[in-house]
Amino acid sequence: MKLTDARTLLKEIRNKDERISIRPHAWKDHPERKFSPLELVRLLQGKGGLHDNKYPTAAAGSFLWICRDEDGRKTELAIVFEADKSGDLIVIIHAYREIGNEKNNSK
Amino acid sequence: MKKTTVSNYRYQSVFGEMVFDEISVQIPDTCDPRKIRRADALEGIDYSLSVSEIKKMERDLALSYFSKCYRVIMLGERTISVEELKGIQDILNVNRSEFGKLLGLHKGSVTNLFKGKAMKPSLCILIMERLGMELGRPGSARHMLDGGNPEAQVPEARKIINQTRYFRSQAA
Repeated sequence: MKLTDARTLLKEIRNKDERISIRPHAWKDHPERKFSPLELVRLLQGKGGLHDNKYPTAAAGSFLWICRDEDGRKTELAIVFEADKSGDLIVIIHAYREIGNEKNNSK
Repeated sequence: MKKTTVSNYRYQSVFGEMVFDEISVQIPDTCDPRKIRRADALEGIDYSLSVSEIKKMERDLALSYFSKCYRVIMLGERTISVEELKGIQDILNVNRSEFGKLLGLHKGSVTNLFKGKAMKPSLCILIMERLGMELGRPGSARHMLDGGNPEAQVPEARKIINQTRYFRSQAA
């Protein structure tokens, strides 16, 4: 899927809870980042931008949702689009944010 | 992706840990759903959980937290931690400025709360009451923020009230 199509699809379905799912890896494997699954959903449904995932270790077909959390820290969510019987799904597969600079509230 | 239902799923959040049955998970097409009946079988599989399932589990955990801690907090024997505060914010489904509005606090005071500043017992009780309200009636925090105006949501009701007024004025 190309970035433009991905943006259109994301805009269409990101506010529908039933069309979003999360891999437990996104919030469980790095407890130091202190993500909760509902926070990930709130970040995805809030302000941000979708970009190509250019990390060398990126999952095939994944995109990066880049936004800022409520402490002003840069946050990146890796998402993929999957299809099931009822249509397209957004799957949050990975989440990253810097830790230790909670005081940096610059936006 | 395929959907399957598993039992004995262990879910953990800031409110504690609980084992759930009948949890719907999404598994890759290559997996056989008949072989995955219990949560142990999900080991090593790239499964995902839908947001509605997560919300359901979070609510159950929050409910058990509320029934366990409300009395203790009301008596001032315990306060709310920053992690619990974030969990409550998640359950209320609001951002920090909205959270401040629900509590009648200034934005700066809310930031201080999330940085771990000590809370007054009265504020702890108010937060627990907001949580209880949301658990008792989902969406009530959002409703309160929207002005708590039921008429705006039910235009038919507004129409009937207006009609009644019209007939009354005619009769007069």
